[in-house]
Amino acid sequence: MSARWQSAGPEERERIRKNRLALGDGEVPITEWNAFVHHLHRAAARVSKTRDLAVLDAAIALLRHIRDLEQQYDVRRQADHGFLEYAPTLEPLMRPPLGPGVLRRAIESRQQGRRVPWKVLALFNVTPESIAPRLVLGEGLAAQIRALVVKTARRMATEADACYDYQTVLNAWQAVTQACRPNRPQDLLSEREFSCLEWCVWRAMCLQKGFTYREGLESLRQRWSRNSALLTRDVATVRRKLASALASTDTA
Amino acid sequence: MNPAGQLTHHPPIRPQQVASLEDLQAFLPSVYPELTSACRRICEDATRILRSWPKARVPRVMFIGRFKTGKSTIINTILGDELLPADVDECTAGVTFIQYGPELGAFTRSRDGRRQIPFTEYLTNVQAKNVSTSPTQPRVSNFWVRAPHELLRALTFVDTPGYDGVLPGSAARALAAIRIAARNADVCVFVLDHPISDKDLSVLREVADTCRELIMVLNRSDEFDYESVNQIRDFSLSVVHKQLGLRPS
Repeated sequence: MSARWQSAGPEERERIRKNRLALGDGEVPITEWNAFVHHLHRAAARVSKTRDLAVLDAAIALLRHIRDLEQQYDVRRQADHGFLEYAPTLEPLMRPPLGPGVLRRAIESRQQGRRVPWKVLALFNVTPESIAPRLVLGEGLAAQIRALVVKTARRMATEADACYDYQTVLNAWQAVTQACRPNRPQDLLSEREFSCLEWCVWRAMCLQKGFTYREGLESLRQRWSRNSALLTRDVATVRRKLASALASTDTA
Repeated sequence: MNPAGQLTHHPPIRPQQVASLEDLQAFLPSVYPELTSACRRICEDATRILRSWPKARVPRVMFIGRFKTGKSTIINTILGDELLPADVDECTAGVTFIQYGPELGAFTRSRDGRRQIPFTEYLTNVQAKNVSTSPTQPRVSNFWVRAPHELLRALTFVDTPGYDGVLPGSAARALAAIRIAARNADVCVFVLDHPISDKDLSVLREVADTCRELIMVLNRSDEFDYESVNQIRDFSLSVVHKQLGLRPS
């Protein structure tokens, strides 16, 4: 290619042309400028997509890990469970202000199906800060990562939708559903944030998989069946958009 | 955590393990050492992910090649603007990152971090003829140019000095700068204006390991006849294939 030829004005091109003819090089230089620029864009988009997907994968693995930790290391529940078993052993150890009254009330609350108060557990170094990973890690950290997953997935889906890359749209959608805690879509999905992504996903399913409008809706319904409120809201949104799209087609 | 990476589950606390209040107080944290390390690891992973997130935004396209192969000219032509100086002599002496910005501006690194400089000062300072030619100068300068081009929202270009400069010490400094820039580049455009040589191959070998995508272009085709262009292209591709094992896509 020739950047010089590409950026030259008419006079400069004429000069190059004359010079080449004089040297017997042919009138116009070989140049594949458009192909080069196109290739550059595609390579950059490929890199960007690969990296985005890698970051999403890492973030989702991390969220899954946090979830496992929260579920498996519910130390308070384990302490509750063991409390009744070792409480009699501890009775002689109780001194004011940890008198037998505190222990008795704790045992009573456990027998009545209530949780042992934190202040009692704290006597045994069982405190929220030291044992509960959810609190140690902070809701804020996981929430930050979830928000970034949604933001990145939305951007990827929008960009992929624009260039008919429906597999990436579905991958981005999968990332969002994985980042969302079971039965807690409200962590992520405000209607405004979600509308763009759902539209891309619906298009992807209709266009990539050859679904009809109705089949696309049914597929969405299956994917969102975990949460009825979400299902109702989002199918309603898709229906509204469909109606709007069909109306605009009719007008055209 | 077990070798498979799964968290192990601990049984409930048993009374026979506790002989005194002190034992109990020492007991609970000791049951959960994995919890502490797992939490720490998660915090580290999360911090790393959160830090790398904004960087994952705009891919970097780095242009490398010998001096006077037209690297700066290609970038100027893509952007349709004379942002980088291009001259008949060895011209570029610094690494320039061309990024998106709401208005035209240039920055350089100083002791206090990045410092904005007038654009004319950048055009002067980045040129080889205005840079100290002392062989003891440790490295080339980095510059950042911001321009309101839509294309730069999707791509950041990195212009590098030629790695075979003739000014004293310039080749070694340029090579060092290219190695550093290549670590963070996503796409490398290797610009040739002649059949590929040993020197080119050694540089290409280094950057091919770090960059995800490699594009090789033959520039200045206006100076060659058709047959020469085809010969140079075929020869260079076959050498790269044989020596580096890279196949054109």
